Amino acid sequence: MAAAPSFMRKHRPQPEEGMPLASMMDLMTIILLFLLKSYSATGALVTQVDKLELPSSTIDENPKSVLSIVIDAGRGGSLPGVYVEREGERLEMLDGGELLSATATTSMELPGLKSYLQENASEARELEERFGIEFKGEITIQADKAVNYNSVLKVLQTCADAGYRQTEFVIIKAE
Amino acid sequence: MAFKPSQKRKVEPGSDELDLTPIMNLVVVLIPLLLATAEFVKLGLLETRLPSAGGASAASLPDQETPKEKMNLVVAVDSLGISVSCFNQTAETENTLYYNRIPRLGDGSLDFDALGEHLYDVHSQVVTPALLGEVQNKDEKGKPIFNPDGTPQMVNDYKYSDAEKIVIAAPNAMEFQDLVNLMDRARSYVDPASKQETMMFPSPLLGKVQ
Repeated sequence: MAAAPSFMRKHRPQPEEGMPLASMMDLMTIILLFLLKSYSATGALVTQVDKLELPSSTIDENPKSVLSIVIDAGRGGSLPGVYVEREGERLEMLDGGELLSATATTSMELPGLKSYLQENASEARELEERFGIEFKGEITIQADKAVNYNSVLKVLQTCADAGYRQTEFVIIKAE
Repeated sequence: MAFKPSQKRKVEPGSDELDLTPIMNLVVVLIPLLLATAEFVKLGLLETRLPSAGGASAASLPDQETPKEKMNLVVAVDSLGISVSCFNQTAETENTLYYNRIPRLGDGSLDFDALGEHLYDVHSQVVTPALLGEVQNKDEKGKPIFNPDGTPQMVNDYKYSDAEKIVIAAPNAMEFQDLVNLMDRARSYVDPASKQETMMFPSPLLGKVQ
């Protein structure tokens, strides 16, 4: 039978075992610096719609919250066409992809988009008359980088016809 | 005589490890806060216009007695590459500053670097010498614009009414990313050596190749 440990051995003071925090602090410092770099005081005024790859640009102008539409190229199973956008979601398809192909040159006007914009513009003008909120005709367009020039021109032309003359494309700022 | 023992010896050596707990607490609070406000993809806006049907010069300058000259800078994209022309030059001449053709690269893509350099040449040799000074900026109705501090908002006054404009004409099938690249190269030029940015043609007008 093994001898029982002596009283002294049993009650010998054990060395303190603290958690090694130094490596964790290193990690936290790196994460903190990275997050500080990507910190945004204003928040996201424009949210990128999913299944849409925006083009990158070197411009430094910040987005603003105005009426927004999406030109979808049909990436990732989504249907190509022009959509209403709200808070990063496609809401309603205004015009189908058949009007947006590079060969569809019959008309420069998109009927669904035009009626939607005209309705919005008349509401905005009514607000301008009643409450003095100025209607500037501003609209932002989120277009996939693969959409063709023909569809971009058609959307611009339709926007201009409906009274939205200050058109701006949403892009990803290149670093 | 024996030396008096130093007082320092009697001081118990304290723990030499830094107490990281308070700073850890701070970091643990800061990280979720910053994660919530982080913007991983920075979005921006690129302004564009369609050319006005009636021509902008007379309408935008109502008090101008004689309309200014136009330089008509046009960048046209086709299957062969990019052609840049100003002063309505349509054929290749000895003066490649007014008409230049930039062929596509070996892989069929457009040569945006060469385009940027050529537009910089046009800007520095045609537009910059045509700078007459500064005038007060006016809105669409011809009303003078002032800064928020009350001082008049000044803009460059050029010999050419369209000195800051560029017309982009492209085929229907061109991808939107190529259009954005064209607009980027037309807007500003960054000198590769000094990294100095020069604003060139910030107002693109989109047209179509017939």
